[in-house]
Amino acid sequence: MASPIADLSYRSYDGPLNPPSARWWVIAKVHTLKAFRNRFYWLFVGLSGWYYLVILTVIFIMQMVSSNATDLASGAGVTGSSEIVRQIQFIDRFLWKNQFLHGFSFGQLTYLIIALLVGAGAVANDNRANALLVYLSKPCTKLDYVVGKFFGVWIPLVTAMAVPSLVFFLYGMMSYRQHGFALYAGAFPAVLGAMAMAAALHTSILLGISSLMKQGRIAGILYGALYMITNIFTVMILVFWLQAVPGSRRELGSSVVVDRNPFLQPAFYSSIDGLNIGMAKSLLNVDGGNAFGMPPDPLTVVPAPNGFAVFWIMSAICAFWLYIFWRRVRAVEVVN
Amino acid sequence: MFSYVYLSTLREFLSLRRLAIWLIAILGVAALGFAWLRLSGKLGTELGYGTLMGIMGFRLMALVAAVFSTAVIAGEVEQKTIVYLVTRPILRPILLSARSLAAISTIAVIGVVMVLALGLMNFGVQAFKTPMVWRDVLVVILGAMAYGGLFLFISMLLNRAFLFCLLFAFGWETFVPQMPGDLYYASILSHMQALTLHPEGSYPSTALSNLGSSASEGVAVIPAWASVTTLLAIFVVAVGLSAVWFQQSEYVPREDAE
Amino acid sequence: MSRWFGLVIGLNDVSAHIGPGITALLGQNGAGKTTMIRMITGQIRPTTGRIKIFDEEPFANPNVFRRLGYCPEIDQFYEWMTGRVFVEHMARLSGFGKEEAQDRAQRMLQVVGMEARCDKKIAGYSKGMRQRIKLAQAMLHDPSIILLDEPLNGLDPVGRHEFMQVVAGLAERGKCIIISSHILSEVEQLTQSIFLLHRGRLLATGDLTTIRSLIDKHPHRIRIETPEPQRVASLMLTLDNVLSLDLDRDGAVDLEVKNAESFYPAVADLVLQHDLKIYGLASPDNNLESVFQYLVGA
Repeated sequence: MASPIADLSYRSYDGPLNPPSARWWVIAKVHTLKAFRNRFYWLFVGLSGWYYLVILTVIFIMQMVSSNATDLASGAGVTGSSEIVRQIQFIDRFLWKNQFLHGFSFGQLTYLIIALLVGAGAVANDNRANALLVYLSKPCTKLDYVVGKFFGVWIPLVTAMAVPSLVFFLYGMMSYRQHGFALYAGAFPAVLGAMAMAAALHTSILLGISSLMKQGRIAGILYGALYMITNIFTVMILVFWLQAVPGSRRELGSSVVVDRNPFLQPAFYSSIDGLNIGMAKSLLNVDGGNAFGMPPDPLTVVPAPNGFAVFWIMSAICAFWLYIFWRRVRAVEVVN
Repeated sequence: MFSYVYLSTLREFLSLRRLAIWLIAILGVAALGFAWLRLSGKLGTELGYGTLMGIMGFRLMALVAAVFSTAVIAGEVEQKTIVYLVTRPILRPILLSARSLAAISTIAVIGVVMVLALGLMNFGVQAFKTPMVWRDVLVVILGAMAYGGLFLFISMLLNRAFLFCLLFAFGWETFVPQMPGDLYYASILSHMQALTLHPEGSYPSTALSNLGSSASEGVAVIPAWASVTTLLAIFVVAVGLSAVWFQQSEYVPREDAE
Repeated sequence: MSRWFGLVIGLNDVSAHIGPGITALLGQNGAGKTTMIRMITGQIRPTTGRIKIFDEEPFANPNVFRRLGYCPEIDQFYEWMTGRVFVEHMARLSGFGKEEAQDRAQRMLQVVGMEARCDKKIAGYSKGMRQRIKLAQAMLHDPSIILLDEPLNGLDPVGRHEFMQVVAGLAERGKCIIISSHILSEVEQLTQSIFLLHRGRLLATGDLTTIRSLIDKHPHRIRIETPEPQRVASLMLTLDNVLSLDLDRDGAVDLEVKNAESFYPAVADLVLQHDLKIYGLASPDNNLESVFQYLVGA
């Protein structure tokens, strides 16, 4: 008979030890479903697609105007009207690849907010409630917990990013194939790749910060502040880029060349959303421009960075914060 | 009682524990600004200082306002410590106004430190003799009142108020001043920029401004009296409504605090 | 009064008057104890009906809070404060000047036994120390009514004993003390006056012995653990209280008895007279759950 002192009834389950083969998925699924059930999540997912909504509305209105102008011109038999109509064939000026980039870029603020909504309390709340003790007393390893939490934040985040782009992609394939949309069908998987990386970056930093805190709110504020302060830096660099160094613009034949400080381009991408946008530009192989259908101006867009460099920098940042998260996962205090 | 609540809250908000991150941020912003102004050859110019305030100073202040305004009541609800406040013999409107005033004072203090840091970095000690800098001190105080009051009210109405405040500070305040027509009147940032003495061209436009009037064009036409009145009105109305809301609403520790 | 939370009824048509002395607010988790306490402490309003404290509605009413002390169930504090600073802060918020607040905080910290440890940050406090600090802040303004929401949670046996002494002392001074708990045996030691809630409804209110006596009209189940069950069983059958008896496989004797209060002294006499070896004597009927079952089933 076992001694009562050495009673191991805490782990006395003697049935078949048959946990789910992917235990991390249990944790990830709980978080994912929790996010999907949150109405604010879907509100922000809707908001994150505002650029696509605006651009589709603009295209719709311009097509209406174009169609009316064509009818009027042909009805009145006005010669030379074809030039006017061509001028307002707005849609033909579209660089569809760039629209995916702009949809992703203009959604950055809402992605941050969704990340805070989904991930700020992911570990901090467990810290406060001592839930780690519960998790790790189950047949669930530290790795299961870390991976589960990661995907529990990453999946809702990447879903939030992808849904508006997917809707735009499907709509574009159905409505604008004849206007060149199908030529850029590869842009969708490319932007999905950028979204996967962006979501991983948000998730890793957020989980790392959250694991250091006991309140989701404080973790959210810290990450929000970190994001915004680095974002302000990027805005500052963008302003510098747009204003350029005085005297640096020079005529070179028929074109204008701007001499810029070589550090300016990498500096523009030295923030969380800078890295995300840089990765998207690299994968889409575009520099930007043509936002809202405006004629592209190469002098105002910051060229795409080196994709490999951005990838490795993002990976290193993810690894650093995930390491902090890993270090912070401690189930119980061992009392000697 | 008002003074005790105000001072104790101010002491809490201005503790080094809370301020450290903002002081580091201000130093970082000032250092970046210095590097930028040096590179662009605008160091010591009013245009350089105005641009820095426009793209960095006022934005950082909005972020500070989001953090401290949501700490007034929403933070207490989320920490569940609200129960200690609402069961004490003190009128709720007094409690709220004293705490919100402390939050606004904190935002203003951080804002003023930032103005002075950017001023000193740009003009050196001449900053103290530059009217533009002192004008910005007043603008920052007014901005702290408007942002603080508005974010406080948002935090009274909505859970996870910080997220909505961020959306306002960096979404609304970025795009609305650049929208066509007179929409810039609906932005606190526009009114703050209208009150400053920053030279024309201090607020560079981005892609959105191509759709309509640019921020600098818009704010230039707002008369100073209108901006002062608007900012003060936002403060008074928002804090007043928050006090009424706080008096009428039930506050219990929330179990889903995140 | 009643209180709904959306479609859920937190408190359903409860009507009562609570006077001086200690009253135990009893009920299982989710019975409505905290809802009732939150209404009394003016944190929430009743949906229907009225609640009056000193003839005033308590919701957001400083006049009521001046005479009411509240020890909440939650375990949250301003963690960066020390226990002393926290209690002083609460005293200042209660309207006392600086010296008076320091004085009162010092006294209360002595009363709850935290004098020696109050200058450490609350973040490092054990559950028991936190309970004591909460109790100190509830009593520092010498309120006429004190509400204690699950105050014994986390207190060790010594702490519970000390706490009960403090509460008993307050009751002797004529305070109205309401203690919520879901453990009958805990509050039994403090008071005979109970207020029993179940699923938001008031099941019973009044003197515990009166309510118990109602239960005593029904057989009480009692289990005696002994190495000599057959001898014990035969002796138990000599008692008038015993209605039925069963020997179970583990060697214990299960009894059904009436008038349990007179049964226990009789058992004690038998044990002494016959030198019986008894390892344990327990009644599964003596817990709150049984009281509920009886009252709900009645």
